[in-house]
Amino acid sequence: MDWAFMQRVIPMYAAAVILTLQLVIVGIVLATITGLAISVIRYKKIFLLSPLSAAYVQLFRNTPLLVQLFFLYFGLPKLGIHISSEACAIIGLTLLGGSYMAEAFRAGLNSISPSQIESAQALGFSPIQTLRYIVIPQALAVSIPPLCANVIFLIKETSVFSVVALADLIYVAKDLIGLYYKTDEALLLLVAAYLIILLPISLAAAVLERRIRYAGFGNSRTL
Amino acid sequence: MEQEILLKIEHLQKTYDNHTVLKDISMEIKKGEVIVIVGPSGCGKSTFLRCINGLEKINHGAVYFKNNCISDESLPHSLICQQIGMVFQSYELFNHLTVMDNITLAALQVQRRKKSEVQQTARKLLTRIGLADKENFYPRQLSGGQKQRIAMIRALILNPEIMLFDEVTASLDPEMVREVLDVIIGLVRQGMTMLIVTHEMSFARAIADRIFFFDNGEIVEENTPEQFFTQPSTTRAKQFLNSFEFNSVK
Amino acid sequence: MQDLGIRVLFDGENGVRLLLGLVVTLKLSIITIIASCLLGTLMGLLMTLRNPIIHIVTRVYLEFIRIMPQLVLLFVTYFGLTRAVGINLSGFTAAVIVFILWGTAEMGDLVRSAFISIPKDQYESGTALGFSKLQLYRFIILPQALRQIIPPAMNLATRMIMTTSLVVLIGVVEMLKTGQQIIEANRYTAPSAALWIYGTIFFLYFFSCWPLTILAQHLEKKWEK
Repeated sequence: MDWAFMQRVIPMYAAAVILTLQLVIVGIVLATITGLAISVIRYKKIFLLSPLSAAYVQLFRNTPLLVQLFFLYFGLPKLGIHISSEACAIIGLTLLGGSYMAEAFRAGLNSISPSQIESAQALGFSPIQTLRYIVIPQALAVSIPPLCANVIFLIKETSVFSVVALADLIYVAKDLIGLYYKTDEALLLLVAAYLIILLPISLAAAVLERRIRYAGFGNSRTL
Repeated sequence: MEQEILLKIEHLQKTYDNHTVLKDISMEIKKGEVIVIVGPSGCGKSTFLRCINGLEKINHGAVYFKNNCISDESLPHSLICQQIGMVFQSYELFNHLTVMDNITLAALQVQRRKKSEVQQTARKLLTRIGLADKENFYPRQLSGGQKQRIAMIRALILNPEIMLFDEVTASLDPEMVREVLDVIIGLVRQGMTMLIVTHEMSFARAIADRIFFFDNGEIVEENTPEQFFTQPSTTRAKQFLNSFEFNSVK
Repeated sequence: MQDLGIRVLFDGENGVRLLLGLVVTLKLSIITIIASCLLGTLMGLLMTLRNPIIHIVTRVYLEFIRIMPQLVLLFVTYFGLTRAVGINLSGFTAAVIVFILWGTAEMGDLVRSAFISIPKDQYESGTALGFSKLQLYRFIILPQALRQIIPPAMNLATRMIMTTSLVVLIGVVEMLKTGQQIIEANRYTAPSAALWIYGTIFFLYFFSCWPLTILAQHLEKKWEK
């Protein structure tokens, strides 16, 4: 191992980590908003929008992000639509993530029995109040584990961003292997960088999930 | 003195697809009356209660509350529900809220009452049903009987004029039935107007002013409890009551 | 200009070549899915044993494989293993290794959680009825476990098919690579080919995965009751 070399290239990896995190945060926020909107549309069975949303979810859950990005980045310009690398990455992540987030929220919404909603109605709650005070808080508890899984999944998916000419971790690693033949060093740093991003998030997700499962609604004084 | 008529149901009819659940139900309930509805499973008695407070749309007929029609959707559903309380067989407490929040949420959000007053009332009601120490518990930590009693005061705190009870003891263990029925008996003493669907025959006999026997979506017999349980006037009621009797098999 | 692009698909053997690329994609998927099912079941059963060493080893393996992006695993295997062991792995072989390692881990976890989720009284009442251990598994435990495993295992299979798209980045000639080659070859005669080729690949992936997803949803709903 060439430790001096590794030290020299660490800033390149750091820059790639920061780029990845910036894109991923924007992407996940937009994906969550998209997913929530889609799941409410489907839950409320809104005319026309509901089947369209279902089609969107199926389309993006059943195609790889890599192919979506190729289409956005290389295909669309032929129609005169030019999208920057960063925008491509964010759009791709939002569309893919939206379809996954929608399913996570849907699982939560579907876990609320119709009789819970009826009993809220019988107490005089309006539909909006029922959603706000009864449905959403309970649905969220069910949705959080799949939402966490989606966040981790989406971060992992960002590893293909190099194909839209973004200097992400894979791009840096590939570059170093190609230019200097420092394969071991480049790969070690690659693995380490992803561990630094993903380990804390996946540990936090595990803790959150455990708290919801064991401490939710009454088995503990906290929450 | 003739008591005011609180609830009037005229020729109520309810169909699901092609299946008629309620055929032609008419009924008048005076203020302070306790009406008990009995009948075999699937006779439409639960649907009847749900039609009254607007959880189900009716196909024909009308429901009047204090001479105002409440079945034509001219009044907001939320307003009707504050007047007509309902308790379900499966309690349906909100699992994410403490006992106190379960009881007070509708009073605070729907009726916009003051928090201090609502909480005080809630504590008073909790004390009355003997669960004063449970206000910070979550539904998961309670027994079925406790949950059902809390579901009752959750409806009562809105100060309804009439209460509908839909088989409130049907999913309880036998030893918990009594504690729930005792709450209803307390309400009888206070003069609450009630419409009760139940399978507890001796309870029905003890508290009812009038008994309605439903079968196949229609009122087969209306009677005083004494008459109904000792000499019912219809064969169908007789057969129904017989199904609760056991003769020695040895 | 637009119709020039779509013509590329039907020009000469382009369409056939793209489909041959799909065959490579599906071949890789099928080999690794079958191997993962077999090895994953074995690993899942191992994980249900209450052996602390097996528990720790399988857990570390599972968590590491899960936390790493599949592309990183492909890079490490393709570039790293080649150097470390001194053998020259083809991209396809590296991909087979990575997908089997990943599929086995995910499948193992599915199998494990299915078996531990079967309530204890199912075992007890089966034993109380006089079933032998073998009969107990054959008639009572296995049918219930399979119902829990099959729908998510099918979802895993679709994820594996989609993830095979990554192998283009370690130089395997499959559908995407073939597409790129066609686009390159027709760069001047059909500049808009990229739109049509990538659009076609998008839908070829969709129609490879979607039936599986639908079937999994159907089975899940059917067995829920």
